[in-house]
Amino acid sequence: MVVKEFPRFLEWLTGGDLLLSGAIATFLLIAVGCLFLGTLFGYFVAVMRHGPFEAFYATANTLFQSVPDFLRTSPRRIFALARLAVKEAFRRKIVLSVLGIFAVALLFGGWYFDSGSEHPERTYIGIVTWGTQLLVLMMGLLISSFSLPDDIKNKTIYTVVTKPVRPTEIILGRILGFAGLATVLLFIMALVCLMFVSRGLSHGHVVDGPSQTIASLQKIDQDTGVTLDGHRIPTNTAYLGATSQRDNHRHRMRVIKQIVRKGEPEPTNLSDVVKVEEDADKKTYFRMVIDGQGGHTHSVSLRPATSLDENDSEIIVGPASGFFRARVPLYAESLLFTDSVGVTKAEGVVTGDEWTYRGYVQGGASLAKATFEFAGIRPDRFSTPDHVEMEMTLGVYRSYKGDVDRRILAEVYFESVPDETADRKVKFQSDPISFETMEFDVQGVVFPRSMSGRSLDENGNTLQKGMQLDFFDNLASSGRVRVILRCADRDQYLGVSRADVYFRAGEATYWVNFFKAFFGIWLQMLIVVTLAVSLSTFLSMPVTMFGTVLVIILGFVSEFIRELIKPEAEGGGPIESFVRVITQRNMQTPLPDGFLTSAMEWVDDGLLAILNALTYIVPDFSKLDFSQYVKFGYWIDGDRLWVATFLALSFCAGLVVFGYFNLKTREIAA
Amino acid sequence: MNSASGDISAKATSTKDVSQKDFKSSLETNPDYDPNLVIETQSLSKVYRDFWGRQKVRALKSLDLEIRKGEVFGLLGPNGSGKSTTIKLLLGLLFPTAGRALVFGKDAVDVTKNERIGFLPEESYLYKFLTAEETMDFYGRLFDMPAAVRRERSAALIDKVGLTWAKRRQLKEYSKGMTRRIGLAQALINDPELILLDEPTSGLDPLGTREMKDMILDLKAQGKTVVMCSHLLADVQDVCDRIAILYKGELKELGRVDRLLKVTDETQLRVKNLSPAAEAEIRAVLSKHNTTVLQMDHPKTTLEELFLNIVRESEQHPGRRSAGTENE
Repeated sequence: MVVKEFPRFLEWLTGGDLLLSGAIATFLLIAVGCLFLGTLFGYFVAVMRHGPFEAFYATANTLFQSVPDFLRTSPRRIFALARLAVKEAFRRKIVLSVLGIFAVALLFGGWYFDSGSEHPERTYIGIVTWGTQLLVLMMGLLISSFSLPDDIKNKTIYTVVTKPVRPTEIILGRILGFAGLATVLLFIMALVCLMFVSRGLSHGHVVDGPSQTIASLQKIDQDTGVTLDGHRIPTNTAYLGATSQRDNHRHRMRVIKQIVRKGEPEPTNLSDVVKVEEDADKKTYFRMVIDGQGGHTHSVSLRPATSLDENDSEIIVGPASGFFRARVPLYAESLLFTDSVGVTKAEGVVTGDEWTYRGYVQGGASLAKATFEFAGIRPDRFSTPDHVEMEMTLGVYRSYKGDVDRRILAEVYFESVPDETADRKVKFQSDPISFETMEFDVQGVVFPRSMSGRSLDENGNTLQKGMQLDFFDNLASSGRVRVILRCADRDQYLGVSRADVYFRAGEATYWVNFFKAFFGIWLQMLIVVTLAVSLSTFLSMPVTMFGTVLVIILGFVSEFIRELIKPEAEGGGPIESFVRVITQRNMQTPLPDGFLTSAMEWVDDGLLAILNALTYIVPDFSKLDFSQYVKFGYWIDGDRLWVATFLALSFCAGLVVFGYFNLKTREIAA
Repeated sequence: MNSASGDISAKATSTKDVSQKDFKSSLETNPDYDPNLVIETQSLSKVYRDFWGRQKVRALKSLDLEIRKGEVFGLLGPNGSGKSTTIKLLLGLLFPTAGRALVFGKDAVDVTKNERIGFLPEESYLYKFLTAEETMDFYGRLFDMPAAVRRERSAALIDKVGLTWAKRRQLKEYSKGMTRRIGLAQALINDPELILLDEPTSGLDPLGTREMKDMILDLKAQGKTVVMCSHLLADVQDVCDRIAILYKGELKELGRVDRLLKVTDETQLRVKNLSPAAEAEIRAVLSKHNTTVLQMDHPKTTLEELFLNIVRESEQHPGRRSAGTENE
């Protein structure tokens, strides 16, 4: 999942130090610009009807009347028109049809999901959110496109506009009605989807073997890290087994040894402990664990708790866990790369990958590293005070084959960022911790709060070695901390991006996150309904639908279009591309010089400019789509929601004003 | 239609009072406003144009009209004469090409004037998926009426137009006559001072037509101003105080109905039990004064009256065949 730079909401809204660069300033600028252009357009239309002088008064009159029209808008009338819209949708059986399609899709959709695939929850969540989004947007489009044109065509609007009803009330009433109806439907769909996904992924296992006891597991005598049949296993494994096959997968079951030395805190949860061995200076806990598979694992407990020698404890494999996550990440503020000769750069080594999302760090070179700087690291933001958890999705580029059974090794260490105002800038640095990378998969790394390290002076000279450092009190005492990643394997490469490495501040409630994703769909639906109602004030139903669909498509692909029309993009504009297709020229072949080519390029430039402008006029639907966060198990933070809400409401407000002037200046009976 | 609720207009709503007071006070600032002048048009013209702005038809040509408070005013004319265009201009459904239309002293496009207007369109353009009760409630809400007032007025008006028995049926199940009745009821939901009726008797059976005309007269008796347009001359003749006759968008005649219809150089005698001898004597007298007797015979009732008599008699004496004139 690609996470882009994202500012705080207030910073985004106000522009921070640069006031005129904030969203409010942009919104006001666009609003004033649109009002000016709209007035100008209205004046020209009026000139054609009435001549220049009458047109001036007509335009001014319309503008002045709009103020009391907006101020005297009656909630009761809006509510009456909203109720009418809801009744219309109900009695025309639109709601029933949509729910019917949704039910049928879910009933038969389950047939095509493979719950045994890698991360089946991603498939499930991706499909249900996409399907619901499609259905709700289509419904919103349909009901809001036909309503007003139908009213005008059937002349039922005569009995409404001859009452003291203002155009604002007609527009807002319809938007409120249709959006309210779609909200209820979307809520029902979200609930059903949540149950559908939970039910679809719910499964259990038993121990694969003659009995549900430890006897079904194979004892590993040596800490070699290899089983008798040659499979690699972690070195602390004491017993090895497997669960039964279910939903096309099974899990590895292990009994691992956890050593707790004297003075270290003892584990509190002992439900999975099968045996405890006690020496003079340490205790060894033998714990039953189930390894993750396909993005989930299972809890395990023993009944009754007993020793290994008796072999009669029943192993109880619990329900699946880990599918539904809402990880709260704390992302780095910056990422800098240092190359093998110690030069700091903004980008890492390019390994030839066309996708430049990750930069690479050369392995084995002592100076090459990736430095992430985090801010706002405070104990109150972490739900686990005794340790710090990080998650990483690290890319790997192998310049030689090496040991294919062993994954690339990486090192991580922490470094404090001294407060700029402090007199003596002493820095703390933890000792490097090595770990095996999971190579393009998410891996969690847990660090104890207390770790060994050293202190350094301003010039980087060691002041004291072998110190016991507290993560929050020493390393992140200023609220800022650097995380430094290195590749330990010589001449192999470690790929990182800013969003790939983050602190896991905690785990939020999954279902809240699920509903947040649906809130994004709700915002999209609100825009679609408002847009369709607004366009239907002056367009017929088919044209309204076409226009709205066009905006939706542009809204979803606006970023792609912007990429496509960049000057460095090869192949030219629409006409040049077409010419290349029919003349079978590839994108790099230069076209013959001449007037026709020049003319074609001018026209293409014009078309691309229009296309570019369109991508900024239509709402960016990708900013309102949070399904990826739920799909990949990340918490949707409040700033994103606030920005999305502000964007959607601003766009809707503009559309309401646009619709108002259309309806106000329209001859209903013409 | 039931006349039990004839005094319904007396039950004015407090909300309506407030809004009308505001409206009236705003008019007091207009020194030209004559409170007795409900509608005024000045050189009102309307030209329909196509998409490119080219003139398609000139629907109304420089109409000057004044309609005063308490009048029943009829707009007459054949199809395409500009009657409906005039009504639509007065309601703000169309914008004038030239001239102006004032309703209660305000421009016709001003929505606040609608507080005091009731409108029955030609085809009763109502929402077919609503029931009669829901229809009345919906339009009541559009007048910002409180729930209690809405309920009271809805029930009274549904009763007044005789649709209590069908008030929970969707309008798509209604006959044309029933739709006209509920259309009229919705036009009266706000107890309007001015009622605009576009072809009010269109689609009604003779009984319904009579009831509609009675309703109009009832509204007149309550002091309301009624403007109706129709091409059915008999309807207009029966209820209107003044009429305007339009033809191809131009005003051809304007005046009081009784004066316009009065044939001053002809006299009609209508007597009862006239004997042949007396008739001969009358003819002799008329001959002596050099008059020409055009016609002297037994007057005929109208078909409408005959039908009504039969229906009334049938209601009073079910099963009895009415005494017709076939055997005479």
